[in-house]
Amino acid sequence: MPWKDNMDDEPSKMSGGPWGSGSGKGNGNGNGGSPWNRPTGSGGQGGKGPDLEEQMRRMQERFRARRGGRRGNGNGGGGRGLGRGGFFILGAVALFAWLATGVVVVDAGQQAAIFRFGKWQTNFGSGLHFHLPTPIETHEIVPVEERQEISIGQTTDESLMLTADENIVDIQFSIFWKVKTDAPQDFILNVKDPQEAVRRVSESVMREVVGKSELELLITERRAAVQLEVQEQAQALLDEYRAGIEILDVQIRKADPPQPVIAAFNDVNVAEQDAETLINQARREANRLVPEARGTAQRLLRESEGYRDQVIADANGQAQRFNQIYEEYRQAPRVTRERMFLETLEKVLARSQKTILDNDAGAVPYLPLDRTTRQGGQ
Amino acid sequence: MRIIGWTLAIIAFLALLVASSAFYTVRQDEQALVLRFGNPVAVRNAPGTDEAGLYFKVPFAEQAVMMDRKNLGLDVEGLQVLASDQRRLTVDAFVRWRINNPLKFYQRLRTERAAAAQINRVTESAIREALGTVPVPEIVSGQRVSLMNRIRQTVNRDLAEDGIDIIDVRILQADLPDEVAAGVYDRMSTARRQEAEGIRASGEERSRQIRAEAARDARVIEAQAREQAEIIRGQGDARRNEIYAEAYNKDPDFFRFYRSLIACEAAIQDGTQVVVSPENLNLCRVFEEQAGAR
Repeated sequence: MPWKDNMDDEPSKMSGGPWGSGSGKGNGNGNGGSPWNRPTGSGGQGGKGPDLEEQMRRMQERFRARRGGRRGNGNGGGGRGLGRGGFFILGAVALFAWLATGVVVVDAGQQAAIFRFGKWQTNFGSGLHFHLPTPIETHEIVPVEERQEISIGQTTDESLMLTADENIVDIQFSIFWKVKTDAPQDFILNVKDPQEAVRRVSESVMREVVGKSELELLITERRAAVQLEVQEQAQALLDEYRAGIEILDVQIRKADPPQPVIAAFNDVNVAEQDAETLINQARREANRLVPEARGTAQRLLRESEGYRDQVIADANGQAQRFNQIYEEYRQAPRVTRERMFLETLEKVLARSQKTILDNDAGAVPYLPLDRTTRQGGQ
Repeated sequence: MRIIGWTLAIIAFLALLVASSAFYTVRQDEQALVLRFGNPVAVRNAPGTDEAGLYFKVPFAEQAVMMDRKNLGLDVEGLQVLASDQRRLTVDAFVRWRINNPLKFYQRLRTERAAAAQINRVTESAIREALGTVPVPEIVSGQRVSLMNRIRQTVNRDLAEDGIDIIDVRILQADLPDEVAAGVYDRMSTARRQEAEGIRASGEERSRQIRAEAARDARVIEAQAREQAEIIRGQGDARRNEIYAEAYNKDPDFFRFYRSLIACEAAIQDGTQVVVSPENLNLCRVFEEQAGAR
């Protein structure tokens, strides 16, 4: 029911309408709280028509009577009177709506830059603020704390960069930036398409920095230094543009040799591993070989010591034995000598094969020398 | 009454129309050129001035042409450049510029698009000229910054009469063309393979060295041990001789007899063939005699 809303907002227009009660409500400030305020609209169209209509007519008459009494106007003038008041309210509402264009609600982490006829005046921090209404002053809200990210090097066209030693490196990096907290007006006013400007500036600075360093260093220890250098130089350029942008961080996500040569680069790592493996194997062998030699040396020494001790012991033993026999012999030299000789002879002959020849037999002694030698050989 | 109301409404409407064409705002990031029937009469808020605000102009007679006052960007892409060492480079660059003289700008170029075309043209030739004087390594690293400054100055000079200020010219990419890049990749690959081979070879070298050293150490250790062992054996032998000499010197004659008995006993093993003549049964005297003869 669009009607009803109209009635609420601009009651004066309704004065000539079929629902007289409408005007009553709009006019009678004192009756603003009347229970008929709302139900009239809907009730009138519902089934309870007659009753309500009756009541309303009565109410209308009462108002008219009262107004007539106060202003002394006839019925004809009633319409105009209502219109004038309506205009006033309409004006007030319009004025209010206009003033409302000067209300700014600034969220946390935002700043509102205020412009008077396009000229920057001041910035409002978070909270509720007012400025002159719209055509005079306008505002623009800028998030000054929000961290924004730009990634560069997603395509090979962007990511391949020439190094100082004329190699090519594949770099992907991100720039994190935000609007300078105290200068959102610079961000708004000075540079067209600031995001794109950050992107271009960072890429060009990165290429400049990469162009000054060597591939080997870039992909290893100079990464952090490059990040810092890019951040500083890009910041300096943006400050020169007065872009109102603060670069928070530059992060190199990837700094590798390009795809076609990555296998060769990896091969270097593999080669390092291979070399390490070879050396380790050699060490392992060395670690086995030397202790083994030491063990052998110990064995040789112990053996020789054993030999020495054995020989000495043997010699001692034999010397002792000789000494004892000699002692015995000295007491009875002749007999002992004979006895020793005969005993040995007996022992020896007892265990050998003997061929005893009789000198007087006259037989030619035939010695089976082949057999003796054979047996002797065995 | 009605007629008066309508008249008032129309008058109000007309007044509004006039007012709206009589006032214009120049935002801080804009600049305006005011033309009176095409004749430039005023410039508002040109760079270097601070004139943003609300202005009056004669309705209908005067016209305000608004222009951007911001720092504007422009890309120059895919430019083929021949460096002084006759090598080709593909160069991308970007230009930051702004309108610094609205009148000249309006007279010469009128629109930003026309300006962009003009800047593009001038910048391309400036880049070609500047980069053509130095070899590739200087472009890539050595003189990059000074080259960019030179290009900027050239472009600025050429565009000075067009109401344009070149804030910055920056080389974005200066890359080798694809076919050259392939050559670079080959070189990078072979260099790496070479390095890898070198590493492997030095690993091999080191491992052999370690093995050889270990083998030498082992030999030396064993040899020293043998030396020591011989010395120890010698000590043993010497001591034995000493002991024997001490014992046997008591009676060399008896020793000869005694020792030949032992030798005889050792020489004739079990089952040895012995030919004995009866008168000569004292077998072991052979040894005694021999020992004596010696």
